[in-house]
Amino acid sequence: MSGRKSVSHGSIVLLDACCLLNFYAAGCCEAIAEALGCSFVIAEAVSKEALYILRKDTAEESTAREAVDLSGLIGSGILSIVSLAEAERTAFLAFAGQVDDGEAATCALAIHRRLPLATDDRKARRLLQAQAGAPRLYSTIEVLKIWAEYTQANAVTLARTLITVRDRGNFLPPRGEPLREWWEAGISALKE
Amino acid sequence: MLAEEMTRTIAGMRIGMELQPYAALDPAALGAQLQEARKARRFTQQEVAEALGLARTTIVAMEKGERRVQQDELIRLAALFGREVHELIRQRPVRQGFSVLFRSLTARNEAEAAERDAYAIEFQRLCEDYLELEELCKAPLGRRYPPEYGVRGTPVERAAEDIASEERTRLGLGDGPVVHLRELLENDIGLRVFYMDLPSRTAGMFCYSDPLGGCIAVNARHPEDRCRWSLAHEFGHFLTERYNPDISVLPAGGRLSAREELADGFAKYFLLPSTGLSRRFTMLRRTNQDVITAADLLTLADYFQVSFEALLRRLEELRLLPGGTWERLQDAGFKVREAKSLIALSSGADLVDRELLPARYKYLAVEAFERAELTEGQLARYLRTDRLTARGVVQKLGERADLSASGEAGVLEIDFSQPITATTA
Repeated sequence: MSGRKSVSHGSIVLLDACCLLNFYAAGCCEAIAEALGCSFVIAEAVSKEALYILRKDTAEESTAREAVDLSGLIGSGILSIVSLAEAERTAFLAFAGQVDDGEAATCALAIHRRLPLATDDRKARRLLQAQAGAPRLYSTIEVLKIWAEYTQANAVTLARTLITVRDRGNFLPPRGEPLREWWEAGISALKE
Repeated sequence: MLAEEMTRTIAGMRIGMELQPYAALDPAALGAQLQEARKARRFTQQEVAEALGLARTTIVAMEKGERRVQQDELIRLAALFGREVHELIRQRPVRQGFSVLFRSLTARNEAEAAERDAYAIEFQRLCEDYLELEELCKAPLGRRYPPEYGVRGTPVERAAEDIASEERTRLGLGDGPVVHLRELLENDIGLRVFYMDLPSRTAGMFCYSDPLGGCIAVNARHPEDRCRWSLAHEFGHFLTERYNPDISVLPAGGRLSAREELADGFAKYFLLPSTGLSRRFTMLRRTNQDVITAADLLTLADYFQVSFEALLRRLEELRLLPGGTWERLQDAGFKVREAKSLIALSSGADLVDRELLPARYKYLAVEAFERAELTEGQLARYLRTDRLTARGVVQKLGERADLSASGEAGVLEIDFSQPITATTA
């Protein structure tokens, strides 16, 4: 295995709902956390959001869904849920004028606790980057790339994981994603 | 430090231009949102006061904007009302709520009035969300509103037929069936149309306010032919009494009020124009050598996309069928649904867009998301769904089947953030 990517700051990475859904869909949250050398936290508001992924067991195209169940990740210590401290509520309310509650709480935590944040949300990223002391931001693909490099995933494993995220999480790289080519090349290994 | 600078620094965080400190929110606007959210959940002020451990008078003052809502109170209120804080504090365009406008309409009892308020509030939120999406995308809904039709002194039936005829002419419909009624009202007139799950007795709702324009909700739980009738009925209200909101309930056998009679008459003449229907019926009779079967009439009802009963009553009115035909068929145990399935006629439901949201609304939501004006969570909320489904909508609307020059099928990706019209230097 290659060297672990340091994310520092007490080895905690904050996830927003988009990334939580994607990593859950990937089915390898523990391996991702290990690759990053961190554990994950989410805002309480994110934990309350009803999240779903598509079922794996159907060979054909299917719309059958399953609810995201975080209890396993929480039980294994990979994921924790954090509430806003009183001092963070003011920032939460300022963000809540612009973004939904889960995203606002996540932004407030990222700013106040100076936590690196994994989010693909372009609006949230724009708002955060406009603030003084903006946190380090990761995208889904960036994190998956770190995981792939750390585990030295072979082409088939990588492609399967990316396809799983795409199909079970209905995920496609957002417009302007700098690692889009890496994502497409990774997936194409199974097409050839 | 200047006062202005102070307000832009909150809790040790220097905030960017897009963020507004909570303290800068208009208490009256927030109070109105809180009142609306409370009513949508059918809570009394007393119940809210007890839940928060406050006096009822405090809740009254909050809703009036006379007492500032503390941060923790707002968060608890949002949880109590099952709303996002974001929904309560974002700027919204309309001040006077639909529920207030609908209050002029009578309800049978308090429970019915409370239920009506809840649906009116959701209807209003849908319309406001639509307007907000237009503002985000800078794509206002084009309006082709005719002036209100005056009907004073004209008998109701005559006025209904005249207006239906004028509107058909204005919209270039001729005297054939109106195939895509929803799309026509949305795209050619500029009305906001939603298919909502309403109480079973409610057929539809109509409301007009200046920033939103004409807004119609029809009951998605009703059969499609009934939905179309309700849509045309509410359109009739828009044409004749724009500033009077309406909630149409299914007739319970009693006599309709004059304005309901006018709107219903309009629906009848608009969907089943005398000349077009008579011509089609005469052709049918000629082809069938004067023998008209129930199957012929079912097919004709399907052609005009109206219910079998509506068609028969209209044909009776035009004296093309003997009076009482519908009742005789009913007495003989004629089952419309079974008869339709026997001759393999669809109910029309699968041909028509019965989704809650207009197609344009969904396109605007996806466009706003692609322009990074909405987060994924907001997109899901606008689409009244969860993130997974919202992602599916983005993918579905963001690409279109494409045929290459060599005839090969492929997918064309649409970049919503790019202008369609090229600018020339």
